[in-house]
This record gives sequence, C-alpha cells and structure tokens, in this order.
Amino acid sequence: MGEVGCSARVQREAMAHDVAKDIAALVKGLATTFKHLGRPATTVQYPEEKRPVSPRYRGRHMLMRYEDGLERCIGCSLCAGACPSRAIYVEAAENTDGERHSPGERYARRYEINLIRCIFCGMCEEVCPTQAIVLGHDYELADYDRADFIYTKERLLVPQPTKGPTSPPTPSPTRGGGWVR
Amino acid sequence: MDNLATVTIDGRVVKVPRGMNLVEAARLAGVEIPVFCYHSKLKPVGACRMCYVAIEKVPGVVTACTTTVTDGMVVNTKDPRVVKAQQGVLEFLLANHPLDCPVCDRGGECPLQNNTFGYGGPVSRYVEPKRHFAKPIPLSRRILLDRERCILCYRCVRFQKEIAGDETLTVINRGARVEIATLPGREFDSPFSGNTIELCPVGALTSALYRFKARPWDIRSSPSLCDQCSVGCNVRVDTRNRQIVRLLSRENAAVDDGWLCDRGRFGYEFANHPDRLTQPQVREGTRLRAAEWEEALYQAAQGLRQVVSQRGPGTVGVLVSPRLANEDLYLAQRLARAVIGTSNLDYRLTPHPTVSPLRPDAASGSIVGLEKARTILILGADPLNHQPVLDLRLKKAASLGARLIVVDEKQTDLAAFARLWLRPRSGSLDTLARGLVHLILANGQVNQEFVDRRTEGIDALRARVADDTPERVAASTGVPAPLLEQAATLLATNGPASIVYDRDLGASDDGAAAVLAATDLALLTGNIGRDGAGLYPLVRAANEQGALDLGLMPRRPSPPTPSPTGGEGGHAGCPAGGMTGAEMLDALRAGQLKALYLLGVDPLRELPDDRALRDGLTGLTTLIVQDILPGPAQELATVVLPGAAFHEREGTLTNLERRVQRLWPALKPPGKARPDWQIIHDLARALGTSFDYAQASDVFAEIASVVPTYRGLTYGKVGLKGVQWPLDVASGQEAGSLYEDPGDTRLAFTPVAPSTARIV
Ligand code: SF4
Ligand code: SF4
Ligand code: SF4
Repeated sequence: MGEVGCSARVQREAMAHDVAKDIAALVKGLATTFKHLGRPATTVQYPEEKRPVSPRYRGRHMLMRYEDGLERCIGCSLCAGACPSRAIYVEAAENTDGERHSPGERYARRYEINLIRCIFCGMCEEVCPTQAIVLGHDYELADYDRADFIYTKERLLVPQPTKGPTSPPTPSPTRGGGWVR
Repeated sequence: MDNLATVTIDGRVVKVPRGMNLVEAARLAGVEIPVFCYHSKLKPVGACRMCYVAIEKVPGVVTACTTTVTDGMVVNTKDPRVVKAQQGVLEFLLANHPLDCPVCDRGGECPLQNNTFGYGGPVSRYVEPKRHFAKPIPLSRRILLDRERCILCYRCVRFQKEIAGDETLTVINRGARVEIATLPGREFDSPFSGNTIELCPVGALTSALYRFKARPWDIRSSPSLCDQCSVGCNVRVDTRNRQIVRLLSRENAAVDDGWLCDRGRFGYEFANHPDRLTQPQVREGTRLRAAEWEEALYQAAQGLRQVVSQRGPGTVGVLVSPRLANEDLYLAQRLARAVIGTSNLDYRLTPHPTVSPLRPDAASGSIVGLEKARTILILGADPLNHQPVLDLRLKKAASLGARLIVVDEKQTDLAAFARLWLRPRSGSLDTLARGLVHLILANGQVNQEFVDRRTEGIDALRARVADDTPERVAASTGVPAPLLEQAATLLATNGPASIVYDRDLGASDDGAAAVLAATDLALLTGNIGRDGAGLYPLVRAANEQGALDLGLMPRRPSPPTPSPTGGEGGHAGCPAGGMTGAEMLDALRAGQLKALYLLGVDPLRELPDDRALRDGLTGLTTLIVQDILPGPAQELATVVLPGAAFHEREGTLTNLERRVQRLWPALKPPGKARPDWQIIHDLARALGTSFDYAQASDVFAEIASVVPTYRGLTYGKVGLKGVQWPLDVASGQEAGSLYEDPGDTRLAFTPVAPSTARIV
C-alpha cells in the first residue's frame, strides 16, 4: 500500500529491540552461573560416587537364606506364575535328608530370571510364600552379552551367613526325618 | 413328562429326570453346588458334607448328593444356614489339612483350594498343631500318598471298588485315625490306579512320575489320543520344556468314559527318551553316519530302485507298524503297490487269524452299545491285558445288569464278574462254541423272524452241528452240560446280546472255528445290528483297525489309486499276490528278499532272537528303517529315517469300534525328525512320483475319497470326539452299528471249513 519506506524504518527499530533483549538474557544467565559458582555441586560423580537408593527400591533380585543357611526358596514356581513378563523359570526337585537345600520336600534345582524381560514390578517378591525372592538395591546391570542377563540361581543366591549358627553350605545333610515339615 | 420332575434351584426352574440327585440337577440349572466326595460316576456317600443345601419345608440343611429330586422341590444353595455350615465344614477340613499348597502337585488345580476360596470363611480359628505323618509314602511305584492332605472323601476307595472292581485300596483304623491304605502286604497294584490321582480332590494321591515336574501354569496342554492299545482313549498331553510331563484323561463318553489305564497314563516315557532319533543316518562302510534328509532319501530311493531293476519288485518288502496313523499307512501302501510295485506289504509279523466272514471286517457295534446289552458272551478275550479301558466298560455293563458269560480256560479278570464262567479244556473252544449253536437250534431258541429275513444257509448249519450234542461237548470240553444249557438260554432269550472275542483268537485252529461259530451264534439269535447286540472282534494295536480298513496286507482289496484327474483310477497299479509279514520273514531267512522298508517295526526287537533272521537282514541290499527310537535292526540298516511320535504330528487313528479320532501336534519332533507320512511322501517323490500332499489333512481327504467306509470324513467332522465310520453322508449321522439296514444283502452262516475262511 505505498509504505515501502516506512517498512525499512520499522525493521531497524525491531533489530535494536532484539539486541537489547539478547544482552538482558545474557546478563541474567551469567548471573545464575555466578550465583552457583560459590555453592556446593549437586552432580554425583558416578561411578566413583553413588547415591543411596530408597529402602523400597526394586533392583536386581536376590534369593535369600534362613539364618541357619538353608535356602528359603522351595521351588514352588508361584513367582514364575505371577511374573507379568514371564521372566522367571523354576525347576523343582526333591530334598532328601542326605542332600538338603531347603526346609520341607521341595527346592529349586534351577532358578533363572531373565533380566532383559524383567520389568522390576516386584510381583515375584509379593507372591513368594517364603520371602525367598527379594528385589535388592543393585541396579548396575549393564552387560555385553545377552546370555549374561539370565541370572541363574548361583548368581541370585545370597552368600552363606557368616554370623550366627554356623552351618555348612547347601546342600548339606540334615538329621534324619528332622525336616518332615 | 411322567418321569420329569420340576424343581426350583436358587430361583431357576428346571425339569430334570426323577431319581436324579440334587448336585446333578443343580448342574443342569447352571447352579454350582460345591462337592468333594461326590463324583458323577461314583455312588453318592455323603461323606464330606460340603454339598449342603436348604430345601423348603425340610428342617435344617441336607446334603444335596444324597437327596433325590421330587416334583415341586424348592432348593436354596445360598441360604445363610448353608453358608455357615459350608464354612464350618471347610474350617474343620483345614484343621487337619496342611497349608502345603506351594509344594503340592495339586496346587493351582485343587478342588479344596477352589472351594475354600469360594465358600470358606475369611480366617481359621484353629491355632493348635496339626496332625503329622511322614511325607508321601509310596503306595506303588507310581502313586504316592500324603496322609496329612487326605480329606477322607473315599473317592479313591470307591473308584477301585465300584469302577475298577478290584478293591486294592481300603480304609484302615477308626475315628480320627482313619487312613487310606492298601491291603496289608500288598502295593497299590491295580491297572487303573492312575485314575485315583485325577479323582482325589486334594494332593493326597499324586503321581511319582509327575512329582515336582511342573505346576499347572507352567504347562501347555494339547488334545491327543493314547496310542498304546486299540481302545484309543482320549488324552490331554501336558508338556513343559519340550517334554511330556503327564497325560490326563480328556473324557469321551463314547470311548473311555473318562478313564485311562496305567499303561496309557504312564506309558509316555518312550516319547521323552533321550535316545530319540533326531537325525537321518546313512551307512558308510561298517558304520552309520549322520546325514541330511536329501542325502538319506536319495540313498534310500537309489537302494530301492537298484533292487527293483535288478531283482524285480517281488524282492522288496514293506512292513508297517499298526500304531502308525491312517495317513502314514495309506501312503505306505500306495508307495508299495503303486510306486515300488509290490504287494509284499503287511502290518503283522505273525500269521493272520481267521476272521468272521461278515464284511466289513470290524466290530459291528459300538463301545457304548455294550451298556445296552443284557447278555455279553466273552469268548477267549482278555480285555484287561489288551484293551484295558474296555474291561471297565464291560464291568460297567455288568453293574447295569448285563449277564456276562466268560468262556476262557484261564481265569481272566472278568471271570469274577461273570454270571457264568465256562472253562473249556485248551484246544476245545470251537467244540464249545458249536455246542452252543447246537443247543440253540435243538431247543428251538432260534430267532426265526431274523433268520428268515436276513440270513441264508441255516440248513447247512444245522447239518454241520448235528453231532455237537451237549453230552459230547461236555465230554470233550469238560464243561458240564447244564452250564452249556444256561449259557445258550441266556444268549438266545436274554437279549440284546453281544459277543466279544479277541480277533487274534482266529490264529489257532480251534480259535478259528470258534470265531466262525460266534458269527453263527449272533445270526441265529438275531443279535447283530442294534445297540447292545453286536459282534466285537477285538483288535489290539492302536491303529490295527485302520490298517485293516486301508488294506495294509497282501491279497486284500487295496484302496483304489486316485487317478490324476481326481476320481478313482481303479486298481491298475496293484500287483497281485504278495507275501504276508510272516511269509516275508521266511523269505528273508531264505535270502530271497533283497530290500526291506521297516516303518516303526523291528523284527529283531519284536520276535525272539533268531539267527537266520539276523543273517537275512544282514544280507539285504537295502534296509530302510524308519522309527523313533534306536533298535537292533538299525545296526544293519543302510538308511535310518527318524519319525515323529504320536504327540508331535497330525493324523488319525481308528479304534476298535471303527471310531476315527484325531492326533494333534503338542510339540515339534525332536531335531530333524519328521512325521512318518511326510517321510513316505518325500521318499516317493525321490523315486520319481508326483505325490503332492502339503499337509496331513490332504492325505486324509484322499483316503476319504477312495476308501468307501471313510467316505464323507474330514478332519473337521472328526473333531475332538471322533466319528465312527461309515458316516451317512446324506444325514451326517455316524453308524453305531453295522448291518442294521434291512436292505442289506443276506448275511451268510459260515458256509465253509475254517481253513478256507482265512482271508490272507
Ligand atoms: S522364589 Fe518364592 S515364589 Fe519363587 S519358587 Fe521360590 S519359594 Fe516359590
Ligand atoms: S486319598 Fe484323596 S481320594 Fe482318597 S480319600 Fe483321601 S482325599 Fe479322598
Ligand atoms: S485302554 Fe488302551 S487306549 Fe485306553 S489308556 Fe489304556 S492303553 Fe491307552
């Protein structure tokens, strides 16, 4: 509409306004930077430094033992049944007095959790009748080989207790008939 | 209307037969009444008190299983008194029952768990120690008893007594000390013991084989059939980790009535065997080496071709197992007759028996039909050993009022349930059977109407048995004449009557004549072609009937070869003559056979050790062995082909009552093993034919198109429950009985001497 000259003036004014705004932002940003320069850092220097996790954190599973060293797991497969991602495999076998792994008749001969499938929902822990499977605090699960994500019973089982009544590792012989129930 | 009663259950009005108990009536009304001790096939005892209901105008609560319906009855299963009583029952049961569920093999499919969940109280008030027993004690090699878990419903004891009829389980002690036990000094040695595992409503009776193998949610199930005998009981195959973990009954009222025998239930170990053949093998010098399918089939085809071209097809033999499916058998006979060009084809290694001259060669009646019989003559048959679950059906018939007449020198299991047990001296079975024919003729007990209308040749029969007077028969068989009289009278006057005999009976001379006389007996008394009136030659192997139907023997009409255009192409490619299995083995011993194809059979395993036979096999130019497990003949084979077991394939089996039933694949065959029909198909192609079947149902469709008795059958029609051939294509009805159509050609009394009645 014949306002070509006018348009050039508007452009110049707008540019000056932008430059002023940029400088204001720069100052504001640097102010934040300088404000924090003196404060202690919140960054955690992982992996040299680690933060504690919440007590209810659900990390890698552990298979627990009783104080006397017997395994809590009785190989009932309830965890496998409860697992929504079908990550658990349990193969049961029979305890004998000569070779006792857990109290009662039955123990897990094989126990495997596929941690790639696991969604760490904690259903297995919820359903376990003996509180054998517990989600622990270990979250450092990266690995190079897919097969290494299959956590076998040997990897999941916690070590023998060192305090309290000392007992030989499982399996071990027990008093005859002592574990009828 | 007369024998129906109208009852109201929880507000639902149903009409049910009078005399029915309330648990069944509620089922019909769609209302569940929880039970432990009640089972529809056992007599009600009211032991567990779980099935309480309240009935209008009846004080208190009553047990439904022991209450029969009356017209106008109004029943309430949710009455507060009922709920309270049921909670009490469960609390008492759980006072003694351990909370073992996580380690119990019944956990997850347990009526006690389910009923507690559905009808129990929220908590138990019982905190005292529970009773304790040693954890499971073995009642037998296969069955374990955990007495802590037993809730004393007595289902197991009642099954053994009422259904199996052997009372191998019993109740010991009194009051709070009651226990289930075997008879003193004996183990739980019933051939039907495994059924108690399924009956037990808790985990008290469990299988030693299945122990801790899997939990119900670890399992994949598939319908299948037992292939251990000709009854063809329906099973459910439960698998885990590519292994069968157990077989359960898949009830088919027409076949097994919901039972399995121990041979079937526990006989699956062969399928899981670590030595299963997984790879084709070919001979290289003195040893076999693994090969690929192409190479093995090429070698097999070359071997056959070489023998056929140098020595002629008459030096090639094909032996098949009567446990193979119809699809395998049909292709095997086509391969032998149309491709190789030989009729040296058989499913038996021993001579064929003489059989009844009635055609088709099959049982005329059905298994359920036996329940309608008033009299059953069991002639030289021992179902307990050869068709176990049929034994239960005969006992059921007896308990429904049928009079059993057992004719056997040995004391068979059924003799104890028989009205009459005739013990002819060995070798005189024929005399006895003819004596019965004589008596019926002499006493004028002939069903004249039937004989006039449906049969021919009675005068000749009269002349043939004229000499078999009761006195003479008694003298030569040792069976007193009055017993013979009674047997003849029962057969002739207490109809309908069925006659059951072992088809293999005809292999002996006296048995052959007895088989023919049995046919005469059925025709004379008009006992054929109706429910309850049938002639049952009992085959033994799982698909022996299929082998008969498909002509898996020489000198027997083979199914016509389909022509390339799809219709029937006639018998052009079927060479005449041919050797039976027994004759082939003789020829083998004499060195006259040059090539042999063994499908699922191993003569060295099935026959007593025989030097000449071994030499004969060693001398073969080509020996193709197709099997699922290693066997002695494989050591001499030129090619070994791995087949699939019953639960790894599709196919059909035909049982002893002409019922065609289906197999389903529950697992893949191990390694490179393949279903037998596919192997035969590929071998035929390697021999240059144009066999072209993409799947098992294609083979079955061809069977249905060329075998008249299988006309109209498809996998879809066979379904889960099977179909008895012949199917009436127009109406879609299966035939319970053969020979019922009055338009049939006349049935002939056995016109000939037994030796000429031999079919092969
Ligand atoms: S971890 Fe617990 S739920 Fe899982 S098998 Fe063991 S006892 Fe059973
Ligand atoms: S063992 Fe089982 S079937 Fe037998 S009485 Fe006990 S609970 Fe019932
Ligand atoms: S009767 Fe025969 S088909 Fe039935 S379970 Fe026993 S062996 Fe198997």
